[in-house]
Amino acid sequence: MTERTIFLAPQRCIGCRSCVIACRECDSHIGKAMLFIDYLNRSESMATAPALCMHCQDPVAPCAQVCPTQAILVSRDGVVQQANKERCIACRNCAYACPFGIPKIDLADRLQYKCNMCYDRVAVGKKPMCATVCPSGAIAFGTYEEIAAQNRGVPVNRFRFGNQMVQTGVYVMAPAGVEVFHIQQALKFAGGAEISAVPGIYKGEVWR
Amino acid sequence: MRRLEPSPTLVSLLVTGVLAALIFLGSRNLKNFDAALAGYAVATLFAVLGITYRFVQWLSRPPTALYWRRGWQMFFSWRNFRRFLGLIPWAFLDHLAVQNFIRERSYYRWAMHLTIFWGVVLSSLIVFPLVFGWFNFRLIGEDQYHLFVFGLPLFTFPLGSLFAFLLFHGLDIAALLVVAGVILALRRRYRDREVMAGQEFGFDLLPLLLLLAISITGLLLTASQLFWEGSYYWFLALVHQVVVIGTILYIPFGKLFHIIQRPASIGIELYYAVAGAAGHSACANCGREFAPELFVQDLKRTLSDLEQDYVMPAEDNRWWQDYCPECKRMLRATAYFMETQRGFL
Repeated sequence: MTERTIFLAPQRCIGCRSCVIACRECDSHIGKAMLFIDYLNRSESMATAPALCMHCQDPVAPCAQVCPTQAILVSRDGVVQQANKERCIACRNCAYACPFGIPKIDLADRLQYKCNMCYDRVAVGKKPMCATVCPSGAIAFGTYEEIAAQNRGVPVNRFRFGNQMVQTGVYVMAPAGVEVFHIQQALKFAGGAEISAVPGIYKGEVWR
Repeated sequence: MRRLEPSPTLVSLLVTGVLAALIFLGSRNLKNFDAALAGYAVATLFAVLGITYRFVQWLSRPPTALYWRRGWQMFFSWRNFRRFLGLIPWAFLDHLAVQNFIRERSYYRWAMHLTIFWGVVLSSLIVFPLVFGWFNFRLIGEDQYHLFVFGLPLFTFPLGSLFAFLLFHGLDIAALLVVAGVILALRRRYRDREVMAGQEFGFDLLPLLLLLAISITGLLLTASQLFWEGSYYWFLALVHQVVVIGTILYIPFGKLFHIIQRPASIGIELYYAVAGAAGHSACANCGREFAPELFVQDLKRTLSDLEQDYVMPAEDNRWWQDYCPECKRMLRATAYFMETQRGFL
């Protein structure tokens, strides 16, 4: 992974969507926002959470592995790039394989879009757009040591989805003692909670 | 489902052998074979070897193999044939001939790609049969040309006709189309910040420069013949040949391989039509139908082949992929808030 990476602290998210607007300004995907601000359980809480590509390291980029045309490439520094425009055939494998629900598919363009950590900016030492504008520190960009020193929490990059452990390039801030986020625990809690997340398929409608 | 894994070496040798045999047959035991074009023919055989090798290797990847098998299964089903009769021809027209998906991206890129595409298709249709000796012209009387294809007489046309002009200048027309498209493409590559952010010389610019070099040297050959009384013809022909051979040998390795991969999108169109008609999976959390049931099953199989296991034993052995992407994000965030509810970080 690049020495500097993204650190998410959803607890700090105030739902302002500055990141979504800024994301559209990135030169590598002008006009298209690659991250999501999701409401969690809107009838009971006003909590929101930013969701962007976690740049999976182990297994390395499941989206790229399930791609039939090798359209998703991982750069040497571990940044998972968005689909190659001439290769992507909009088969939607990546969108539904991604354990984090991140890639978007534009059915009219027949093209996948996803967060590439503003590769053009990061490669020249700048921060990604979202981390540049986030007013509350919910999305931060820096080295592990920098961020760990600024926070009470510990950066964690391991997630367990059933039997599958996924280690990511992007970290999430957790209380001391948490080493892995277990999704199954959340399932018991959520059981049929109201969803107000943004669908990942657009232009061509979400098909039924 | 057990899979037969064809060897890329065997298949590519076989395909190259078949093409060599067809060259032999089509040129009537090399009688109609143009020795001046022998370099092109040999290079084409090597390119076909490389392209087939890469193609078979590409098909052996688990996700590609699965779509490849499913695609043909669905294609060769009589039931599907009746139900989706128009789908394949339409997709062929929409995805390959007219390329509406590129128009959706931008009109500029649409014009750029269509000119390059049709220029290359037109030139390939003329060049390869000539190189292989499959087309052959014989003068009949003073002003009639007889076209032989595969050694069989096809039709006669007068030398001075518009048809003859278009046929003999087909490559010039193709070259002009390609030059127009490449200029549009190069302009974009030096102006558009989005492409400039990610482009690489070897992958993005080199193929454009190669196409430009082929077209320009090709046009100069015509110019030499028509206006310069054949000056520099030999030198130009040599340069043209070197660039063309370099380009076709480059196809398996770089950006141009998308020519071979792209038609797969027709298979995807059929796949979604057939799988979609058979029923959809409902998200295990919100209950919303989110993807064809067959697709979700196939995705699980692909993930298993890749040795990834998202089975959730505590949730009736459901897969994490049984949840829609929106619920995946929501549930992960919920997991986060459960871990962090003890205090603000």
